[in-house]
Amino acid sequence: MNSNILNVLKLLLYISVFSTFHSSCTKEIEIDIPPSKPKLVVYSTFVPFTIPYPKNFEVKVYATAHIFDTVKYPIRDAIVQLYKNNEFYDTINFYPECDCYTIPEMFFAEIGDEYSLIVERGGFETVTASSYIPSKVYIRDTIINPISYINEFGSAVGEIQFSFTDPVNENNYYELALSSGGINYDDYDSYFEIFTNATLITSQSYYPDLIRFDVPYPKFLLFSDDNINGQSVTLTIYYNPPQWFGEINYISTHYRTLHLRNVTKEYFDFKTTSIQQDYAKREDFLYGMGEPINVISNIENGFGVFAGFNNDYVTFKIDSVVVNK
Amino acid sequence: MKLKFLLIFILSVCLHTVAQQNITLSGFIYDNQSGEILIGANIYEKNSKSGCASNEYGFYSLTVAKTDSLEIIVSFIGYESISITVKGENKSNFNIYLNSGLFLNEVDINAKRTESIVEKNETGVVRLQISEIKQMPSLFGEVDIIKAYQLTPGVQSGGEAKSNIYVRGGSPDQNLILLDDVPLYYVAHFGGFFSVFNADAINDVKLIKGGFPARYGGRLSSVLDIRMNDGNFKEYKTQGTIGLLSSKISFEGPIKKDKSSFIISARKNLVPIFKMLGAGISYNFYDVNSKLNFKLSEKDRLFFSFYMGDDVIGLGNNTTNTKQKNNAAWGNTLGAIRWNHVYNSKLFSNLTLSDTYYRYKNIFEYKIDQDSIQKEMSNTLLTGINDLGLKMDFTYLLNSKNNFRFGFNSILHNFIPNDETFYQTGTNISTINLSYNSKSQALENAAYVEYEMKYGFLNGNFGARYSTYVIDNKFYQYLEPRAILNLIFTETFSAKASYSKSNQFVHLLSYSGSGMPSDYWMPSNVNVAPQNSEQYSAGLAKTFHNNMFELSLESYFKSLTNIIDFKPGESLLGNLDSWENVIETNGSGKNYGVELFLQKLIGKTTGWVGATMSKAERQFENINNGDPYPYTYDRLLDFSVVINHRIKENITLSATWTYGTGYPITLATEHYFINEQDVFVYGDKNSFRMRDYHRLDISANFTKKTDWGERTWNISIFNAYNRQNPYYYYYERESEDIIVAENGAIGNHTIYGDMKLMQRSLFSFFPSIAYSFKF
Repeated sequence: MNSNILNVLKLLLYISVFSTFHSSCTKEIEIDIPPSKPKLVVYSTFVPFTIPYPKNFEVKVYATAHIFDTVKYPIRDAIVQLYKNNEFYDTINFYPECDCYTIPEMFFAEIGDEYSLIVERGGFETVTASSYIPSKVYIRDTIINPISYINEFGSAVGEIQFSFTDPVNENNYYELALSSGGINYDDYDSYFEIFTNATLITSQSYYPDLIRFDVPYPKFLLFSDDNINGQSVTLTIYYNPPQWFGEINYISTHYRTLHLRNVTKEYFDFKTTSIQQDYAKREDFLYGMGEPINVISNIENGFGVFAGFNNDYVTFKIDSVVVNK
Repeated sequence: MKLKFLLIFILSVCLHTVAQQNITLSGFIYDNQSGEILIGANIYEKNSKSGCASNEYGFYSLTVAKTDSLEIIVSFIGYESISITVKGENKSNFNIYLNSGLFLNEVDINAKRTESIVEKNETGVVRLQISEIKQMPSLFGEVDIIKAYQLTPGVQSGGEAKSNIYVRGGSPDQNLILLDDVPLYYVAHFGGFFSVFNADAINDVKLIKGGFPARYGGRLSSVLDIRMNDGNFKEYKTQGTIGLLSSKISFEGPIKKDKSSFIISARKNLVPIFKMLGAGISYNFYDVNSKLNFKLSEKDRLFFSFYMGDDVIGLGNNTTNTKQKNNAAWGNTLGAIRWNHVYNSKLFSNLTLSDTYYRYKNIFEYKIDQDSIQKEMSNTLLTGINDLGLKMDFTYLLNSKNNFRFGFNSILHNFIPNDETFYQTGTNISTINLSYNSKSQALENAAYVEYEMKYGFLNGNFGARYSTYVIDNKFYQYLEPRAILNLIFTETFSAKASYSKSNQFVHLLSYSGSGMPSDYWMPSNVNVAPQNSEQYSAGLAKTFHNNMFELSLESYFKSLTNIIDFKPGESLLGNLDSWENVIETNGSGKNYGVELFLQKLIGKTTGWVGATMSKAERQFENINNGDPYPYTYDRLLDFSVVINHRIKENITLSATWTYGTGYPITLATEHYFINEQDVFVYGDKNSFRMRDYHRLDISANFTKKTDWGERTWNISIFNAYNRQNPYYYYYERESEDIIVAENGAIGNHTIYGDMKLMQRSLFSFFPSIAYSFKF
C-alpha cells in the first residue's frame, strides 16, 4: 500500500479525532424546571463524650432551594426540640458563634439511649428524626509506613494497617477516615483522601470503579459487617503524605489521625449515597453521567441526617523521611 | 387439546389439496459469478401464478398443478431476472444461477413478479440489502449494519455512537441476534461506536420486530437474522478497506471448485487512538469471521463457521520497582457446524451444533518489589455466558399453498454472573485469598410447529412454540402461540395482523453510568423469573409501480413482565456476593406505537423514509416510588430519510437524515448544602426530555476498475451541518474559594455562582475517508 496514502489517512484521522474530542461541544441549556415547596434540611451527628476531642451536640438547619437558585443560608429561627427515650429533654437554641443550634451545657449523648429531634419553622413542614449511639469498636495493632510504594507520578504513597474485632450478633456499619492531628468532626476539608484494595470496602456501591482512574478517592470509607460478623479483621488503607520535590524528594513531618467509627445505618446510608451522588454527578466524557442517586435521609418530611456514631482514633506522628524512587 | 385439534384441521385441509395431481421443482438458487446462495430469491410459475422464495439456505421448492410445460421466472433484487421454460415433470436438484447487475436505468419488467411485502406473510419485518448498506454514510469510514437498521422505523439507537438496537421499546438483551443461526450476546466494538459485523462477510440480514414465527424464540423484542457469505466457489477473491479507525481484509475462494469454498475476514484497529491523544490508555479491538463450506452431494451440505472478536482497554504503569495493570476485555467467540439435507423435493432440514461464548473481564494487578517491601495484589471480575446448542429445523414445502416448519432446539447455558477473586500477599500484611464463584448451569429446550398458508385472499402463518427451562431444580415451561394473518385484497394491497407470546430466560444487566461496556448476562433462576411478553400488531401493506415502492403502516402494542434492572447506584464490580442482591425484579413494561415505512427498492435512486410515533414505559416497585416512568430510550417521534443515488456507473452519492424527539432524562429539581457539599434532589425518574436530535450524513463512493481489480474511495461527512446533539446533560456551577476573617480567625469560604445546565455533545462535523479494494 502506498505510504503516501497511509500518511494522508493518518493526517485525516488526527484532524477528525482532534475535532471530535477537543472541539467546543458543550453548551448551556435552557429548561423549565417547576419549583417545589422548600423543605427543611437538618444535619446533626452526635457522639458520646470523647477526650481529648469532645464533640458538642449541634444541629444545623438549612432549607432546600430550586436547582437554579442561590442556596439559602442556615435557618436561624427554627424551633428545635430534643427528646431522649421519647421524653422531652430540651429546646435547643441557635448560637451565631457556631451557626448552629446547640446545648451550651456540654451535653453528650450516651450509649443505650434513643434520641429524637423535632424541628419546626413557619412555612415548612415539621421534620422529625431518631437515632442512637452504637457500641465502640477499638483500633488495635496499627502499623504506619509513610512510603508503601511510589506511584506513577513519582509520589510516595503511605500505608496504614490496623485491626479491629467486629461485635458478634450485631448489625454494624463502619466508617474510616484520616484527618490531620486534631479532630474537627464535621469539617470535611480537614480529612484526606484515602483508598484501599480491601474488597470489604471496594465492593461497596459507592466506591469508585477501579477503571475510573480519573476520579479522586473518597475521604470516608464505609463498609458493613455483612461478611465479617464477629470476626477479627485486618485492613490496609493508603494515603498521600505531604511531600516536597526538589533536588531531594522527601516527606515532611506530619500528623495523621485514623478514625474508626461504628455508625448507625442511617448514617451509613446518608454518607454512602452522598459519596455515590457526588461521583455520579461528575461529568465524564467517556462514561457520560452516572445514574442519578438521591441521598438517603432519615429526616421525615425533610432532608439531611440525624445520626449517632462511636469513634475510636489513633494519632500518628510521622517524621520527615527521604523518598527513595 | 386445542393444539391437537388445530393440527388435525390443518392437515385435513392440506391433504385435500395434495389429493390433486401436482409436480414439484426444487433445488438451490445461486449467484452465477461466485456460487453464493441467494436468500429470498423468487421463483414464479407464470401459468399457474404460483410462486415461492428460496429459504435461508438458498433452497426452494415449487409445487404446481400438473401441466405439459412450465414457464419459470426467477428474480432477485440486484440480479437479472431470467425466464426458463421446462417440461412439466418433477425435478429435484434443479439449481438456478442468476447474474448480478440489474439494469439500473430501467425497471425490470419481471420485478412485479417478485414476492412483495403485500404477499409475504410477515409483519414488522425489515430487509435491507447489503449493497445498499455499503453505500450509506459511515462514521470513521466504517460501514455498519446495525447503524443502518437504527434508521428504520421502530428501532432506536440509544444515542450518539451506540451500536445497540432498542426495538419497539425493548432493551438490547431482548434482541435475538443470530450469526448463521447462532446467538451472539455482545455486538459492539469501541464502546458502541460500531458493531462487530463485518459487512464484507455478510450475505443477508433480516430484522423481525413483531409477528415472530414459531421457529424463533428466547427473546422478546426482535430477531436480527444475519447470514454470512459462504465463500466464492469459482475463483479466489480478495477485498479490503483501510479506514480511519480500523482496517479489514477478506479472502475467499474455492477449496475445490464448485464443491467447497472458504471465506475469512478480519478487522482490526491500526491506530492507537487514545495514546495518540496523549492519554496513557491503550485500546485495541479485532474480529475474525471465517467459514468453510462443503457440498458433499446434491442433497448434503456441511458448513463450519467461526467468529471471534475482542475489545481490550488497558491502563498500565510500570516503574523500576512497581508494576500496575488495569485491563478490561470483552468479546464473543462463536463456532458452529451445520448440516443441510434435502430428503426429497419437499422436505429440507438443517442441523446446527454450536458454541457461543461472551465474556467480560476486568483485571487489576499490582506488584511492588522495593528494598524490604514486597507486595502483590490482584482483583479479577469475570462475567459471561457460554451456550452449547443443538438445533434441528425441518421445512416441509407441501405445495405452493401450504408449508410446514417444525423442529426443536436445546441450549445448555453456562452462566458466569460474577466470578470474582481477590489476592493479596506481601511484607507485614496478611495474605488474603478470596474468591466468589457464581457459575451456574441451565438447560433450555424448545419445540415448535409452524404452518404457512397462501390461499389468495386468506394467508397466514400460524404456529406454537413450547419452551422449557431448568436451573437448580427449578422448572419453567411455557406455551407460546404465534399467529400472522395476511388478507390480500389486491396484488398491491393487503391488511395484516399478528400476535406473539414470548419468553426469555436470560437477563441483561447494564450499569447505566458507564459508556464503556458493562453488560452482565444473568440467568433466570428460583428467585428471578423469566421475562415474558405479548405483542399485538396490525397494519397495511401497499406496493406501487411494479413493486418499485413498498409502503407499510403498522401499529403495535407490547407488554413486558418480570424484567430486571440494577438497584439505583449498584454494580457488580467488587461484589463478592450474589448478584441477586443488587437488582430489582418483577418489573413491567408497556410499549405501543405506529410505524410508517416507505421504501424504493429499484432504480438509480433507492432508499427509504421511516417514521415512528411511540411510547415506552417501565415500572418497578422500588424505583420512582413504584410509579411508571418513561423508558430510558423512549422516543415519542422518530423520522429518517435514506437516499442512495447512482450518478454514473462508478459514482454513487448517499445521504441520510434522522430526526428524533429527545430522550428522557432525570434532572435535579432542588438542592441544598451540607458541609460544603452541594446535594442534589432529583425529581421523578426520566421526567424531563433532552433536546431533539437530528443529523445529516452524506457520502460519496468513487469506484474505478484497474488493471489489478477495483478500488473505491469513500468520503463521508458525519453531521454535515454540525448539529450539537445531546449526548448527556450535567449541572455546572462556578465557584471561587476566598479567605475571610471571621470571629477573629482566618477561614476559607467558597462562593458559588449560578447553577447552569450544560449539554455535552459527542460528534461535531466529522469527515472521514476510506479506501477499499478488491481483486
